[in-house]
Amino acid sequence: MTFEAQAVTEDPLRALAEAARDGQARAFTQLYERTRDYAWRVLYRVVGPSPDLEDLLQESYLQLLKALKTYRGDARTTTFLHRVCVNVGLMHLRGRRRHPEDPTDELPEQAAPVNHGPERAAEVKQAADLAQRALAQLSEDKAQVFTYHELLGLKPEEIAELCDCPVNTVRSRLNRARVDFTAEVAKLRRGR
Amino acid sequence: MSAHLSHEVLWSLDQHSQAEAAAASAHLGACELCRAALEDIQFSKRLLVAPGPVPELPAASARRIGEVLFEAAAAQALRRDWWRGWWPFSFHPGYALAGAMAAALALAAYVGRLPSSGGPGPEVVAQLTPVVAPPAPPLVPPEVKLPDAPVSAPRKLQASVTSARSAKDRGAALKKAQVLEEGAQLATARGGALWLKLPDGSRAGLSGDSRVQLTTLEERQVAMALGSGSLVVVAQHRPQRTLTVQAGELEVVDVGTRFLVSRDVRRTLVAVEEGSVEVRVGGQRTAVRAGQAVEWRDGHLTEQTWASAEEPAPRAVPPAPAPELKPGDDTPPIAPLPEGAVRQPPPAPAEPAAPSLPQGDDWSTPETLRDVPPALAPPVVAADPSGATLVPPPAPAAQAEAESAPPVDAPVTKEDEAADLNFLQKMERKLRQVRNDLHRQFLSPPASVREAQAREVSQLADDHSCAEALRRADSWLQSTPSGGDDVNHKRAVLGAKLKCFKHQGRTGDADRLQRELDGL
Repeated sequence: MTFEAQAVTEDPLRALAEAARDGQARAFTQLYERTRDYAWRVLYRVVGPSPDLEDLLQESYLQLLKALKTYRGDARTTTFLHRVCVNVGLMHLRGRRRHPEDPTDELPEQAAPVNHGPERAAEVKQAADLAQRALAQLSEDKAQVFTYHELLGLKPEEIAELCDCPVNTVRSRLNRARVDFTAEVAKLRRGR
Repeated sequence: MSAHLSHEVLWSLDQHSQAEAAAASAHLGACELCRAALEDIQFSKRLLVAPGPVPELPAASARRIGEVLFEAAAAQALRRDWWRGWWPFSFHPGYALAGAMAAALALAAYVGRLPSSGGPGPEVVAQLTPVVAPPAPPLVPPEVKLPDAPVSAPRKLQASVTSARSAKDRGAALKKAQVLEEGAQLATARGGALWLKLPDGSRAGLSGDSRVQLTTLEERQVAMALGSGSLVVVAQHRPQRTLTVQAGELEVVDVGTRFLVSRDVRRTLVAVEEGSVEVRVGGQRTAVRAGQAVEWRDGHLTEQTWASAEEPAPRAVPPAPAPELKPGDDTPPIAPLPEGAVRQPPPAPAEPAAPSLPQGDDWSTPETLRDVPPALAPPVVAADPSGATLVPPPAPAAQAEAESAPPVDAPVTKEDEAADLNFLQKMERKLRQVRNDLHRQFLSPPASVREAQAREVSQLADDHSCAEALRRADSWLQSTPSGGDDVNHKRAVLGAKLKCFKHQGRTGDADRLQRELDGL
């Protein structure tokens, strides 16, 4: 038995995912309850402190509900969820790039990060904003790989499984993504 | 000088061996370009450092999202493909059917083009046959066979935004006059408001921190599903279409009215300002009239009182003239009472089929809705001192118009908008008052109960049932009464959370909580 196959058979959420795929709404709710904190952390790392985080969490699970139709159990459920959350987060950043003047982005729905004074909170917000704007400029493939590695701390082998591509492709894509990201940050920094 | 350092080397400079790092720093000391590149990289990397510990997902939001997802999953289960039961493959049988149809059509087209094998083709026949003028046909109009009326799906209509403040449709900000399709998922932020014009001319207002989905927008049916928050509907009654608001298990069917549906995690309130609605739940139907409200909580429907904008009791009609309607008035004109108007007994206090409901809390507040604009005022109903209600016979033209009224395309005027916003604000204030009362009443159980709950949380944490312990701890902490709890109980709950964080390896959260505990 390969490592991957073993991991899949040990997936504790597989039964829930299959039941949800087969139309059991209660199973899907249980799946949500058991994974929501994980999904929330992933989204927070991608999007940063944003008033839209709760909407994005809901959207991620709605996307997951749709995606479960094609779920065959050959990948871990958390892998599936991880991919959905990162895609939803990146789509959100791209949307903000297209509508930078969206006034509702500034709604004080979400509190500033805990235990931060106002100055530190402002710095954190500014840094996160700059990083997200640069990230939104990357191509989809590069943004995905960059997010997985630099924001979520995944290893190239894990990213290869998520992206369904060879490890060397991940490495080269990551290297190009770093170059592009640095260039975008420098451009944004000097353009201000 | 050696070649410039690559971006890859500069990015992972801190991960290199001592010798490589020494060589790189020697190069950096001499190369200004590489130093500038390194500075950019270091700045970029600093942006990626985690911005402190991840805040917890608020328990109330988690519950709300859970409810929305449950409804979405249940709706999807209902829409499941009918062929899944007998078609075990992920390949859609529709593709096979489409392929077979295409092959059949191609074959039919090919056969139709072939000349018949018994003789020459049509062109050859034309050459050989002498041309003879055909006899003139009799001048009878050809019989035209009308095609059967197509059985088509109901025509999808659209709603439009009349005013929006901090409102979104699936994350995209809404703007005035924006057109909304069926299925739109609308949400308002705290302090926001949204007014819509529905395809039948009715209007719907969403208060702040609320979510609603436009589930059906058809000529004969308009339906909305309230996820959370409050929705106000100003509806015109049309017998040929139904307007419903689904709020969890409750279905509210308009019978020509202005009403409000408000929903939170524990309860759903339906309050009628004018006219009446029918509330359906679990096969039970309950009529709710002006000035009344019903509350659905813990599987029970309880009647409440609600101070409506106008007196719900019948009022005397002035003798003459008939009331004039202002432009944009929603209500149909009432004809002056003719001689010998139909005299009817007063209506029963409740529908015969409606179950008797226990009287509950008084939802009314000192703040009533007296200054609702005349455009939204109810039609005048006559009454005589004996209590018998005089119902004027509707004018035939007006009745016919009411029964077959087309979708209203009249624009919503600025006065309408102002009145709507004013109305919504008043309803929000009223609801806030009611919610505060509820919070005091239901969210703050007695101290002995809270103490038992705190012990349960500690027990769960000791048993390493961390997910459940954290969920209950958040719920307990969130419902802390304004007067404050016993500090020891709070410390016990926070201690249980701390234990769970450590058990789950969430060191950042644990440190933060430890500081909070130290401050207690």
